[in-house]
Amino acid sequence: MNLLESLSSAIASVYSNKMRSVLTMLGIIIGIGSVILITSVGLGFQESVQSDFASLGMDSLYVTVKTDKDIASDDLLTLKDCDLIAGHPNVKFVAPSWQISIRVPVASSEEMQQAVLVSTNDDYRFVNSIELEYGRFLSSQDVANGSRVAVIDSQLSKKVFGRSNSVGEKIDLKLLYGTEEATVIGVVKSEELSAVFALPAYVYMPITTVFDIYGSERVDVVFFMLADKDQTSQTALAVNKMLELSHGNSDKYNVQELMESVETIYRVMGYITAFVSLVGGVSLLVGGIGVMNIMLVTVTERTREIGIRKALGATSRNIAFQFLVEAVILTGIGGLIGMTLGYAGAFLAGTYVGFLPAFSLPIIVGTLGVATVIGLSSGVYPALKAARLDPIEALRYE
Amino acid sequence: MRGVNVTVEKNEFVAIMGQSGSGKSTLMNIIGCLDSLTEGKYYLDGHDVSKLSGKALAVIRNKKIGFVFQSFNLLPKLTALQNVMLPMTYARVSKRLRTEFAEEALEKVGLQDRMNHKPNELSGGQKQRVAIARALGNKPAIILADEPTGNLDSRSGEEIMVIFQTLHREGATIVMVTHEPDIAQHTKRIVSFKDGRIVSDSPVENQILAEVPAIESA
Repeated sequence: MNLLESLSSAIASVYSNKMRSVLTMLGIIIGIGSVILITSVGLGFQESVQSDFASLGMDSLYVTVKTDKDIASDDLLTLKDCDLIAGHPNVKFVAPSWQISIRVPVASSEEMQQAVLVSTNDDYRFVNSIELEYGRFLSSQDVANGSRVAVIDSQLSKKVFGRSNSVGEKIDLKLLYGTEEATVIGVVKSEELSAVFALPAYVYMPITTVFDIYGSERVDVVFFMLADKDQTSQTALAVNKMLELSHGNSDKYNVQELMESVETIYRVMGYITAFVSLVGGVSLLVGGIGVMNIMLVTVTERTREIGIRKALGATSRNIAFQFLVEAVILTGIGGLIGMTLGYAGAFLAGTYVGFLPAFSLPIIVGTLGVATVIGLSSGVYPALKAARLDPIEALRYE
Repeated sequence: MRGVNVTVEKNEFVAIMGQSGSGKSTLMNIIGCLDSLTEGKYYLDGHDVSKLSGKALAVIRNKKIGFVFQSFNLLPKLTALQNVMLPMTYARVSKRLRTEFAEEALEKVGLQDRMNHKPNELSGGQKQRVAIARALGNKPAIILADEPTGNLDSRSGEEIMVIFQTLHREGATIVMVTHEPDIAQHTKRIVSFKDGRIVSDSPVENQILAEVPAIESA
């Protein structure tokens, strides 16, 4: 009896006991399914985050005010702090950022488009790797003069003006207290429709202009980039110290690398993956025991069949192989079903959250390998038991 | 069982008779290579098989012996054709050949139009005929029938005896265990057992020729 025939007869046997087979497979299905689900979601998330952050300047550092402390108004970051940071010999670019949510009326319609107004300076282009499509980005002149100019992204340009190149157009910005007009001087590439963070449309304006309008002075974040990246941690410490000295406080600021926040996300993701995989592993173990149990029942039930087969010339090895193949088919099919369900679940979760799960060949192969190994190891004992049956006894079995 | 010495020649048709517990089942198991001797020798087709191990015995059972059981012992989930093919599968006969041989064997027992039926769709007599076809598959040296008519009505039993007598005429060697004297009368030689010993071993005087009760194939 060759392998192909053993397989087809094992499949027939598994199929003839549908309900029992499915119940037996359940542990394997759940185990494999959850491992596939979490790893594909995890990998998909990672890829998506990676592409999100690749467009941001990953080498940038940023300063924020710690939110879990008592913050006095003196502690808040201002444009003076930007100059201070720029004074550090290892700092190349410094860009403040103050973001507010605005609405932009769509030309020739009543509609409004949501957007984020980023108030910043000319260096922002470098610290966040912005790609220009038309016109120019904010210049130091614009910032110095507080010009009424705006750079918008192509997504917003298309929405508002119906075309990507809207350089020279006037754009209305609905702020909290009224409408301000600005001239579009440049269009930048939109962030790819990002998965993890649904990125809104962006408008960039000189921070001085926005401060004039709002009478505000505070800055949310100060981004900066270093000349020598090997000095990152030292420079970060030094910048923190400078800010504390200047504000006369201590332990109020976070100086972080963008990279670090990504790594934090990865780490959390890693913990979740490890945990779910552990649960999946336990489920696989229990599933394997279930398969062994059912195989033992099957061997007992089919004692007579084993006797007949032996009388007709099946060797012990033939019999052992037959039951081993059945166990592997059970776990293999369970593995396939689990994998399908896992990926289906991942897709469902992915479309809900907004990113595609990652298919990984090593994981698919590995998963099926694990299912096979479980089948083999839980099938060995029942198969040997079947093989050792005495044909005379087995034939007499009712 | 002790002191038993039987020789069955090629192309003999022998009945083994005896009460239950007389040792005839043990003898059948030994002839069928299902059991091995604690003492003594067993030559099958000229070879001493009394010292062979499990795997070698399996091969002998496969190639040299065709079993026919009282309770048919067909695999319920396989069709008649698949059942007949089973021993040839273990003998690694190619699928084409084994289908051909199996169809031939089923035709020989008059079941050419029942090939794809499962055992539960067949009558007792038909099941036993499938079992005989299965026993013929690997062209065995000996056909071993253990109460082949025990579970059948007399008409079906007669059909089976017709087949055995035909096979015998064609050169097959058949050893049949039975406790029914009139069934034994269909053979050429009767060996009787009692308490593990042979009490008589004589040729059949007036062999009954089985009447073909017009093999019904419905």
